[in-house]
Amino acid sequence: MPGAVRRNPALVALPLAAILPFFVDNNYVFHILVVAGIYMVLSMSLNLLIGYTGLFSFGHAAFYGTGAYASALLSLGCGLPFPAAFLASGLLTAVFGVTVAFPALRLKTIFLAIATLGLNEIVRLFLTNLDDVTGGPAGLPGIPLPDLWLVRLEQPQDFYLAAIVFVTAAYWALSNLLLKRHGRALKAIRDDEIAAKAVGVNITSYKVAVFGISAFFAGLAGSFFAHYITYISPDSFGLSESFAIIAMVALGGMGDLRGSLIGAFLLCVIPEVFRSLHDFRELIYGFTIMLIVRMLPGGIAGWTRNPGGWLRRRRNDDSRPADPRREAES
Amino acid sequence: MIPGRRTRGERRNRNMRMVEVRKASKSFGGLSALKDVDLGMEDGEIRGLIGPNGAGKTTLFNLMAGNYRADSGSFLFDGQEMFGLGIDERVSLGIVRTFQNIRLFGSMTVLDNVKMGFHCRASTGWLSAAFNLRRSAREEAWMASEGERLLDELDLLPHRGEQAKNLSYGNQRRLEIARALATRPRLLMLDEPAAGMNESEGRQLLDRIRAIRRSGITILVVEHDMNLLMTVSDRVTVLAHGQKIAEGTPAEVQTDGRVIAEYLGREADASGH
Amino acid sequence: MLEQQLLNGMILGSLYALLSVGFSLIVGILKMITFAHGDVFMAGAFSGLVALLVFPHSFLAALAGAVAGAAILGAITEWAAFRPFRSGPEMAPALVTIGFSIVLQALVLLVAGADTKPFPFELDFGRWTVSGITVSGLELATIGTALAVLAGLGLAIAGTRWGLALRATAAHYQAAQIMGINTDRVVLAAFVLGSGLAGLGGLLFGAYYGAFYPLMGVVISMKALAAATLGGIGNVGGAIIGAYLLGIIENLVAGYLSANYRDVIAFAILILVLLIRPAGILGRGEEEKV
Repeated sequence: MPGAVRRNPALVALPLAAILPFFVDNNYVFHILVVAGIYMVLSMSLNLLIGYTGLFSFGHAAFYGTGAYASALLSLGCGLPFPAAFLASGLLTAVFGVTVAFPALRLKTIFLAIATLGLNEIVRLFLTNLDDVTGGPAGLPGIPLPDLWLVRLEQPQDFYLAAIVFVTAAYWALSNLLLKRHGRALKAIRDDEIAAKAVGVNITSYKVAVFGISAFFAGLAGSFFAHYITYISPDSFGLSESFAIIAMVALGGMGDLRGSLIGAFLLCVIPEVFRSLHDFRELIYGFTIMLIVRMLPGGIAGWTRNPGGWLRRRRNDDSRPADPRREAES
Repeated sequence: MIPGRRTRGERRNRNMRMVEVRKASKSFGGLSALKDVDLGMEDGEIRGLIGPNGAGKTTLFNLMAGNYRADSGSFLFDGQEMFGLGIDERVSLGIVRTFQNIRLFGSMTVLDNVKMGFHCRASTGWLSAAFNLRRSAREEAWMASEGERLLDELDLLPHRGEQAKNLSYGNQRRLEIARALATRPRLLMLDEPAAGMNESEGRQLLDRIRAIRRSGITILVVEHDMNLLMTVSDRVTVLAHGQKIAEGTPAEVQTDGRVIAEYLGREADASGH
Repeated sequence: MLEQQLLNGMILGSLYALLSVGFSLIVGILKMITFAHGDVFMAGAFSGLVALLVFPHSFLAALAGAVAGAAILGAITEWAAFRPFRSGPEMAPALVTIGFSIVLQALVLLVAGADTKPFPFELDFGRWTVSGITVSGLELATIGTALAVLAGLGLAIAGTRWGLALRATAAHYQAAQIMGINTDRVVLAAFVLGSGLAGLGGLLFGAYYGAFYPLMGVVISMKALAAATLGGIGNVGGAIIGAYLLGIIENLVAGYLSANYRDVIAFAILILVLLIRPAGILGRGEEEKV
């Protein structure tokens, strides 16, 4: 554990955030930070697919929504206590992710992106139309606040502390995974699938596993969201939600977990800091994405590793895949 | 803790050769690329595979490595059928290949590329890694030290922290071989390993191939460089038009009438362009 | 009833087709995708309304304004999102277009507001009833315009020098370049053309449903993408056929099964087609070249 901490300053920084309540007493601030925490887990889990494995899953909100609805229904319908509903919704979403993975194995690049967008819409439409179960467009109100045996989470400040535990645990588990042979195998698949096969990586099982793990964490995030807001509706899990998570991953840096923490934090907090610019918030958001992809292809994390690198990149960049069209034809 | 060379791969039948390809056939869209080809290799031999363009040597190579699915025939490796197994299964049984057009994990470091070779010899699961159990940490440490040893052997140690895509061409070739060796193969298949090399690099490669064989690994080489191939191989198999036309020691093959006809005929054609 | 559903299907299909052709042109040539196409459709429709401020009561001016506005946005899309990434990474343009899509929506929202606007004056081109089906002039105009424009595009691709350059570029980008085709210009033309058609579709959509709003392109562009995929994405003829098929299927589902699930059908078709023909018309075999 100490070794892991030394390698991972984020493991120190995240728990340190727990001292904030000693200095700040503002529910609005805590609310923003809880939401940021949920997006941190969402963008880390999406980064696993897009950034680490090169699987362009563009419908992440489908997993997020599945977790939220599963958890809400398990608590409201079956009366499951929060901890059980939380874990169960993660596992159910993981099962859904694995189910999606099998057909997704056959698709690459833009075709996978298109199919997962379609999946996102299908999930949202089912949530909207299965009125009897999901409450239809009106959604599900009255989701119980989490009761964690000894403590009950009620105030945004309570949720803030819970979110710190949640994000830290997710980050710890994922960074352990990704630093070791599994993470390396995922990057190998992203870099060159044929070469990865040639050294004995079972591509199928890795892709299925990574879909399952990614969906698991997205499902947990959905559950956390549902029990925090206590009301969910299909509109929270549409394409624009998926696009927002993609933007966070791209801003933070593809294939960098710490980057996802930063990306989610910035895109949640910056718009709130500049409340006076409220009308221009979406505009700034959109331009940020456009500029980041163009100027900082490695995101903020890539930039901190190699500041100024993007200036040199233009001239001789042999890091790019030779040519996508060649791949398409072969 | 770490499985080394498996012992269960012991020759099941003492009379059986290590590699026994029988009547392998493959056609692409009705065009026959390989027809009823046999290939037998002894343990510890270096076999050269040659033939003019379109002779089917790449096809045979890909069938054996598992990149293509055979239409018919069989491939016994230590008496065990390989056709029908996935590439990953073949790698874990000891068959590994390199690529003519070098396929490295470009964004990963040199050391990580070699660690990917050890991947199939490691065994920690997802959960053990996620919860940072001691077992997975030990395995990582083992991969790092073994990887550095292997890099040292191939004179790549100074480059271990560099991104693979930034290596020079010759170093990339060597790294690919290092990565293949990390899988602990029993049969190493080299696809045109000398492509793009100059004469002195070619000579180094020659020494290296022999050194690999001395460590007990059987080698199959597809190569255009006739000099290199004839020097390094114990035996040579010649394919033409998807069929085997000759097999024997380099000296035998070089004097074989059909080989000369095929080859010189083609060479004459080729030089005529 | 059936005839009425078929007619509705043709109208919807016409609107889909005007969008799906753009998707197909872009994927066909670059093997990359844009997610801003629906917002170009929307912004084009709004620029049609802007044209009406200059030329009041001229439907033709609105059409021209929509086409021109969308075409310019198409050129901007190509310049900002695609030109910098010709040789990869191949998903970068998709990400930039997500940003562009948000920007377009936000801009229109700032300028025009979130409320739904009707077409500013009544479009009465007559109305006929033939054996029980009622057809309005606007409906006929929508179908007629779409078919005429798409037929023109088909002829241009099949019979002009430009079309030949386009087909060559789609078949093999590098080879076309080597043969002296200005591929950048071909790509730009494809964007301008595809986007112009989207703008036309946007205005017709807004006029037909009497609704112009900043998010009007979101759902329909996803449906058009489904249609393009159904027809074999990258193939312009396929995109048109797919669009009309989808329009008709949707209306039949809505009319005879359930109006709630008409959208689900569209996306289910999308995913099924992708799975049954994994790479669409790019059709990669089961074995990879090594």
